[in-house]
Amino acid sequence: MSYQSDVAKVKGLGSAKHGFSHWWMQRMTAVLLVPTGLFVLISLLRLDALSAQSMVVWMQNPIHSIVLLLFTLTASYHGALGLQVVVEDYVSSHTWQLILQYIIKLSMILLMMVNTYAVSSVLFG
Amino acid sequence: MAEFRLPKNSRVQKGKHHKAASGTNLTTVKVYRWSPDDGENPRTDTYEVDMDNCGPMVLDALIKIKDEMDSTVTFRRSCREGICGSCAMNINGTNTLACTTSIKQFKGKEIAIYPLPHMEVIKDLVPDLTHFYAQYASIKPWMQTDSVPLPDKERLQSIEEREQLDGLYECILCACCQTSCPSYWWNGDRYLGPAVLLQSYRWLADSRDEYTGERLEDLEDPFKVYRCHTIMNCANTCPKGLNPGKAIGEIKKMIAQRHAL
Repeated sequence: MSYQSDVAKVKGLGSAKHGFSHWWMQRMTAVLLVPTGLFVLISLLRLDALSAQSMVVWMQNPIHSIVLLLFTLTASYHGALGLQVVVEDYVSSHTWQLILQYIIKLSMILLMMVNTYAVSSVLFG
Repeated sequence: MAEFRLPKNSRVQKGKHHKAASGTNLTTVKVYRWSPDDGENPRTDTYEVDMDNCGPMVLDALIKIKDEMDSTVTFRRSCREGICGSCAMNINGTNTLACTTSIKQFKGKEIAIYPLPHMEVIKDLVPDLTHFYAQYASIKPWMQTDSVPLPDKERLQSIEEREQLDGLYECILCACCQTSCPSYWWNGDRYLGPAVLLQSYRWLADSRDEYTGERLEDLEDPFKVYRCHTIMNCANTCPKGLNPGKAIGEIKKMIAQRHAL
């Protein structure tokens, strides 16, 4: 039972006064994924053979490595932003929200670290 | 977590069949029925309507059913010309106004009528719009100014400034778009929804209003505006042919400008 007015319920705790940067970064990373993703895809298709050896040779070119890193880091960040929205949309339990948002952020950071280590270890031998 | 099935007491059962007393040109109308008084599950009743003796619109069929076949059928209606928004309901899967939806377009096939989706039902086709109206009130849908106009002058607008309100002022707040939006279904408690945001942009676009900054400040919130994922059901369903999705896009653009973009 609550005697709180309907408008008070709607206003709730007020505006968070943010949300734009999340929305903007979603778009920016999406735009960046197109050229970097295409570059990586076309490069892989043009390899003589899809073997570890030819991949290592390709990655030892610094431009290739940088684009690959840009692609994987952007994809991790973009994926985390998207999953955050999915959880906000569909998970109504506050506890589960916290747990899942934590897992998403942590996975993103781990993925980025692994990506950076993998690409730089190949590049610098 | 998200719920994918209706609760047991909300699952719709098969209802009564009301045969037409006479006539050969019959159209079957299925109507969602639920009353808070009998403790029963909702059901869909079927009515055979004699089209030779009925007006051309779905609202005419509903009024005929209520007048001649079953006086307990409950629905809102008022102007019968698409300007009051009272008879908004879900007809054959689309939210629209019963008074401007012709029966002919269904080519004699069965017409299924349900209340606006994902709203609490007061009775039959009458949804509870209390929260929607409170959301509308929360955006302060009136002109806010600091400057004092001369007592013998109106607040003037050029033709170009007035044109900015076209496609916005026509909204009749029927809630068809609001209740067609999946984002509003999942997060309607905090997401303002397409109708309220279109109305919000109506005041942001008004050259006479002096509180644009305050309005945008209040709107920038992950839930109030940014739950819009441009699904565009709103533009698809609007019985007045408006585009709330575009208005929300304009709000996002204005917020971007505030951030020097």
